[in-house]
Amino acid sequence: MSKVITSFLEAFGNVNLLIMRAIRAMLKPPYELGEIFFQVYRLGVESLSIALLTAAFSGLVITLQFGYAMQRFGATMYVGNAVATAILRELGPVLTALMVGGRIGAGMTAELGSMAVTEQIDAMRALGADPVKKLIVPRVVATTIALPLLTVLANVVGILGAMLLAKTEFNISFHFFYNKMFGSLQMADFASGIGKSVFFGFFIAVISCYFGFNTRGGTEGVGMATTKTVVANSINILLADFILTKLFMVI
Amino acid sequence: MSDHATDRHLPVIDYSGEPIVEYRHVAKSFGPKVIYTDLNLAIHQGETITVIGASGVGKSVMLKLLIGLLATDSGDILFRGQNLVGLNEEAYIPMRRQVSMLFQSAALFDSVSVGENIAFPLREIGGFTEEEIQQRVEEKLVLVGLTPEAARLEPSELSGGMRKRVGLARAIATEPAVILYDEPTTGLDPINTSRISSLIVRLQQRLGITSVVVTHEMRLAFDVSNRIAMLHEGEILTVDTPENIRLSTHPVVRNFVQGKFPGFEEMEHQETLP
Repeated sequence: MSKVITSFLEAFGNVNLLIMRAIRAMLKPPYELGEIFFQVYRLGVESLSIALLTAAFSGLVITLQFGYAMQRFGATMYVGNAVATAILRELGPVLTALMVGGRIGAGMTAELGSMAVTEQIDAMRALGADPVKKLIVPRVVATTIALPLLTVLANVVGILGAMLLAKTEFNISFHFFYNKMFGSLQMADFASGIGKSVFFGFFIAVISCYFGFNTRGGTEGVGMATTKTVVANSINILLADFILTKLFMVI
Repeated sequence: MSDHATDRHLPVIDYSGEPIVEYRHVAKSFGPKVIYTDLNLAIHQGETITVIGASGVGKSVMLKLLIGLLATDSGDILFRGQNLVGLNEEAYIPMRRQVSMLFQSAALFDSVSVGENIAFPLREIGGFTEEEIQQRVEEKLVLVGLTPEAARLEPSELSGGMRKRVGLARAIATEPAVILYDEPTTGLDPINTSRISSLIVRLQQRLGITSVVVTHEMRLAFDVSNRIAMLHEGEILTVDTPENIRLSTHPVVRNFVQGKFPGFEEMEHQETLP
């Protein structure tokens, strides 16, 4: 048990050190804008389909659940308000982060992990380059930009799904849904969701890069590191979601 | 095999000057596993020194300590008189432009072409025009016996021997003073092995490069070295010319050079008993 705690604290400390190194490298010129742009494009395009699919189905399901639950009180017409709040504040950012985090996090760890076990990261250092700047900074910046963008699109698709289901299942017109929704939504609902996804994006990249860089033990090690990344990312997203939600409410 | 020594025409080395690289009382462990207790070795300008020793004795660790990929526990490592111990990552950079390393797996960057691999250290240093970079890339490819067209290939398209040669081209792109070879011939066929060893000799003859070669292949060690150092149980057991190493009467050195494990003679003796 004490070994588990020690190794957790060690990883926690090392991730924090990595964050400091990454931020320092980020602020120092030259800025690798081309590489950052390429990574945003790659991460965004690769993850678009899975993010939108998740959003569409969660929009449908949540409307179905809320719709029938609210029907009991004769409040079905308010389903738009409830669903939109749920999607913007929680479902959009968290489900997108979980799905995209699993996908791009695993990809990042596998890529950097393979580089680590084939001595490519050592070679980079030996050739006088800083691998944190070359490899980690573009990925962290790109994920921090790409995840909120994906979340915005996921929110839109989720709400469109909800509107469609409200129309077919509960006979609520698009116009009515739309008006009800915007009558009650506040900027804070949108901003807190997007604010969370900025943090999620940052941490997904840092954690995935950390496990990638510290991969040891050949191809088997790459597989293990990838598994660890997916687990660590998921736990971190759920944990951070709670803390950030609480924090944003105070602010 | 005895005529290798006479074929080599290695440059004569001046051992009176200050060494270019010096290990002084270096100790290193990985957790409970002790690698070096007291490692001492002086490497002189222009020589090729080969470090031999059994697998897992820490030959590659010597190179990684020098280039700063690993940190020593205690002791000093000097490069041109400057102590490298305790330098941070940034302070290592000027030294890494003069010392480069050929990794065991060649460690080519898979995501970019051969040409971009060789151009990488030049782009890192900066100050080269695109034309100069392309010229350097071609020149280094030709120097390691590849055609300039190879620049367009992807690392995944290369054979093991070619990967090593591209790795070497990348290592010499910045025209370093010292090259560290980590097991340069491991996993290569005999033709590629002799190609690599003649490259090591040629770089020494033409460019006056100082080389540190880590290997357990005696053939390579005898072919390229001015001196051979034997690493054993955390220390340098002996440093001598290839001729003297070949004739050494020290049991550990003799067994290693002849490829015999300790106790070999007794076993051989037992097997001949009726």
